[in-house]
Amino acid sequence: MSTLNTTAGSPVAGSVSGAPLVRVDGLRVSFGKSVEDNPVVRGVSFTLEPGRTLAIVGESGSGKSVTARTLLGLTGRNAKIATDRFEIHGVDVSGYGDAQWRKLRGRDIGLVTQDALVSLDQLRQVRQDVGEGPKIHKTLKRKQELFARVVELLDQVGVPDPAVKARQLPHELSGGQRQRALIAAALALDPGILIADEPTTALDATVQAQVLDLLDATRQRGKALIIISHDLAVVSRLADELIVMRRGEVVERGDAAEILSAPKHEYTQKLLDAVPSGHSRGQRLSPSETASQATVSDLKVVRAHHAKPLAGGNLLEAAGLVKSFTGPDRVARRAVDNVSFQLKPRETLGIVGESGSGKSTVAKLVLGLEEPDEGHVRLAGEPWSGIKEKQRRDRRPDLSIIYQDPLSSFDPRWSVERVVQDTVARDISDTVGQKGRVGELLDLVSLPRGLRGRRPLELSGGQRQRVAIARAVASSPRVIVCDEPVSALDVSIQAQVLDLLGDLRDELDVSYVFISHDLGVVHHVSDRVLVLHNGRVVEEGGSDEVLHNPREEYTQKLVSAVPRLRISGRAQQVA
Amino acid sequence: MSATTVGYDDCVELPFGSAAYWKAFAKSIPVGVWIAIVLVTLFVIAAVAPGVLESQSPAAQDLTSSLGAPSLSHLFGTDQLGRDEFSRVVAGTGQSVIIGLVATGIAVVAAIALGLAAGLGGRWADAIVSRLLEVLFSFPILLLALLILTIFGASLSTEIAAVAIGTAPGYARMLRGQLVAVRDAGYVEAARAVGHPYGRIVSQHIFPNAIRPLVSLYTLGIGQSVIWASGLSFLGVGPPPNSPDWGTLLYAGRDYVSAAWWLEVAPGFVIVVLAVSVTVIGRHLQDRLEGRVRVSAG
Repeated sequence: MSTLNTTAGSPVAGSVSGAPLVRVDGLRVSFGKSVEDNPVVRGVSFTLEPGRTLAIVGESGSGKSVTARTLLGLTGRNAKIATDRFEIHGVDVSGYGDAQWRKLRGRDIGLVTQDALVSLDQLRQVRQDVGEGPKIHKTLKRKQELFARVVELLDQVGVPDPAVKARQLPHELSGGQRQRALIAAALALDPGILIADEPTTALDATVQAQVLDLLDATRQRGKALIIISHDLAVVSRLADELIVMRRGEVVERGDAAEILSAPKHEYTQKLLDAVPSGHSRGQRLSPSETASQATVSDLKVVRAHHAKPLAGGNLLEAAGLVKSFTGPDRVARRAVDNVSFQLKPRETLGIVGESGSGKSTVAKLVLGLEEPDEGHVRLAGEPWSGIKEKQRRDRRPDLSIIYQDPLSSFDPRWSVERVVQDTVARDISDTVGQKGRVGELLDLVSLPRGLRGRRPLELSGGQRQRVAIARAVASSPRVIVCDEPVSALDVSIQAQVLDLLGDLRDELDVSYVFISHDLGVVHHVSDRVLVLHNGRVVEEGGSDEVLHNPREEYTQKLVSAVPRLRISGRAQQVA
Repeated sequence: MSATTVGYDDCVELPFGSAAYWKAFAKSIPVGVWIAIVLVTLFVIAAVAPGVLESQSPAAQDLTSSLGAPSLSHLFGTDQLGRDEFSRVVAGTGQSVIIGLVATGIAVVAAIALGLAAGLGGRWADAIVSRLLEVLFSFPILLLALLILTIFGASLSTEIAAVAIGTAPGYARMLRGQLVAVRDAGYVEAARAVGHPYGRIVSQHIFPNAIRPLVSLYTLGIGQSVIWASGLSFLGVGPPPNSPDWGTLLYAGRDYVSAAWWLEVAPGFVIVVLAVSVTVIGRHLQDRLEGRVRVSAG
C-alpha cells in the first residue's frame, strides 16, 4: 500500500474549533406517525473525536444502521427524528433540510456501505463512482484532474494498477478491490468522519483483514471512524469506544477493550458467548434448550428402516475427486483438484476455504448433484458417484443438505409445511401422518407450529434456516452436508443454529460435512478440518491441530487473518 | 393490486359451504376484483346474448343523427350512418372475445410446448427451437399472418390461427428464459437432493414457477390479439364483415377521428377494460391458488 498523504477534513462553514466532530444526545428515530410511535432508535448518545473509532454493535433490527444513516441525513422522508443535541463540527444540524445535508455528505462525512457488488453501479466504470463526490461538489472541474484524483485515491486504498482498474466495471474487480473502491469513494472529498456500515461482511478472512487495516490506517491519519457491525471480532480489532444496541436501545457503552473483556450487561455477555471458536467447542453457545425427546425417538424409528450396517467404518469416502468447469473463455479450470477425505459415523468434518476454493463444488460432488471427472465417492461403503441417478434415488434420504441461503432453496410458492412435507412424503404415505411428522420436525428445530402456513419470505433468517434443518433431518439422514449454514445469520441466531446442529448430531446420530469460510465456526463444530485452496487440499487434520498450529503457509495466513476478540481476561478463564 | 395477506397463526378454519364461509369468502375478495368480475360478467352477457344490452339494433341507420357525440340515448355516440356505436360494440363482443381467447390460448399452448422443449429438452432441442423462434421473429407478425391468410383463405378460424402463430414466438421465448432461470434454482437442486424423480421436479417446481409471468401475460395478450385481428380485418384479409368485431370498428372510425373521436375511443376503451379486468381476476386467482389469499374469520 502506498503512503497516505491527505490532510484532515475540511470543517463545515462556521464550525467551532475544539468541538468534537460529532455530538449526539438522546437520538430518537421512528418510522411511525410520531417520534414516540414505535421508535427504532430510542435515545442514543455519543461524541466522536478526531482519530477515534466508535463502534456500534448489534444484531438485525437493533437500529445501528438507522443511527448511522441519521448522521448523514439519509433516514428517508418517513423517518421522524428527535434529538436533544445534534452537532457536527460543533454546528447544530438538527434542523437541516435535504439541501444542507447534501453539502455535508461526502465532504464532511463519508459513507462506506456494505456489499460492494451492489453498492457500485454495475454499468459505470469504477472511476465514475469514485469520482462522484468531487464532481458533485465541484471541487475538481477538469476531467484530467478528476481522473488523476481517482487514480490517486485508488492507489491510496491499495487497489493494484489503479489507472487500469479505474476504467473497469465493478464486476471486473475482486470483492476486496470493490470494497477498497468504495472506501476510496468515501475518502474522495477527504471528509473528517468516515462511517463504515458492515464494511467487511461479504469478504473472505484474508481480504477482510486487509480492509480492516486500511480503515485503521485512515483513522491513524486523524479521521474519526464510526464502524457499524454485527461482528464483535471485527469491532474488537478497531474500536476505541463501543456502543452495544438492542431493539433501538443502548444496552452498554464505554471503552471497547473494557466492555469486551468484562461486559456488564447480560446481553453483551450473551453476544460474546455466542461467538464460536476453538475455545467454545463442546459448549453451548446460546442459553436456550432445544429438542423434545419424544420426537427424537420417533425419528429414530423411521431411521431404522433404511439403516444398513456400515462396511469399512466410513460413512462417506471421497477419493481423488477432480472436477473441471469450462469458463466463458472456453478454458477449463479445475475447481476441485484431487480431493480425498473420509467421514466416520458421528463425526463432523469441517471444510474451510475462501471463495473460489472449490468447497461448494465438493459439496455438490458429495451430494451426487455433479459427477466427478476423476475419483469417486462412496456412501456407506457403496458406490455413490459413477452410477445412474435412478440407483442413487433410493439412497438419497441418507444424505441431505443445508444451504447458506435457505430462501433460495425453498420454492417461493410453498408454505413451510409443504416444504417439509415434501421430504416426509417419502416415508409416510397418508397425509395426516405426514402433517403429524411435519409438526414433530418443527418442534424438533424449535419452530412454532403456528408458522407452518407461512411462506419462506414471511420468515426471519433464523426461522428459515430452522425450516431448512427440519427438511434436512426429515429423511433421517446419516450425513448432512452444511454449505455455509450460518454465514447469513446474526451472531446469537448463529449460536442457536449451531447448538441445534450439535443437539441433532447427538440425538439423531448424524454426521456433518460442514463447509464454511469462518474459521471460528468450523473450529467450534468440527472434529477434523480440511483446508481447501484453489481446489486442492492444503492441510488436513484434527481441528485443534490444524487451526492452532497450522503447518502450511496458506493455513497460517488464513488463521492469522481472522480477527480475534480482544478478550484476554475471558480467554484465560475459558482455556 | 392489493390482496389480503393473512398470516397462518391468526387464521381460523371455517367449515366449507357454511354461511359464515361464504361471507368470509366474499370478504376476502378485494373491491377491485369484484369490479372486474362484474365487468367480465357484462362482457359474457354481451357475447352470449347481445340483445340484452343493445339499446337498439346495431344495424339501424339514422342519417339525421350521424356522427353524434356520446349522450344518454347514445352512450358511445353514433357513426357516420347514425348507427348506435354502443350497440355495435356490444354486437362485436362475441367475435372479438372468441378471437382474443382462442388465438391467445392456442399461442400459449404452442408456446408452452416450444418453451419446454427449448428450456428443458437439452442442448440440441434448445438450439433447434431457438433458431426456429428467431426465424419467426424475423418476420413482422402482420406479414406472417397475411401469408397464412392468403394461402388458406380468409375465415374466422384462419384469422385466429394467423394471430396465434404470430404471437406464439414471444410467449415461447419468455417461457424458455424463465425455465432456464428456474431449472438451476436452489429449490430445484434441493428437490434433486431429496431424491425426487425429475418429472416430479418439473411438474411441481420448475413449470409452476416458470409459468407464473405467463398468466398475466396471457390476459394482456387477449386484448392484443383483438387488435392484431382488427389489423387484419382492416387490410381486408379478415373474415367477411357481416358481424364487425371491435377491431373493424376501430378501423372504421379511423377516417372520422378528428370529427368523432368516440368512434376510436369506444372500441379501444372496451378492449382495455376487458384486458385489465381479465388480468385483475387472473392475478387474484393466482394469489388464491398459491395461498397468498386465504378465507379466514374476522
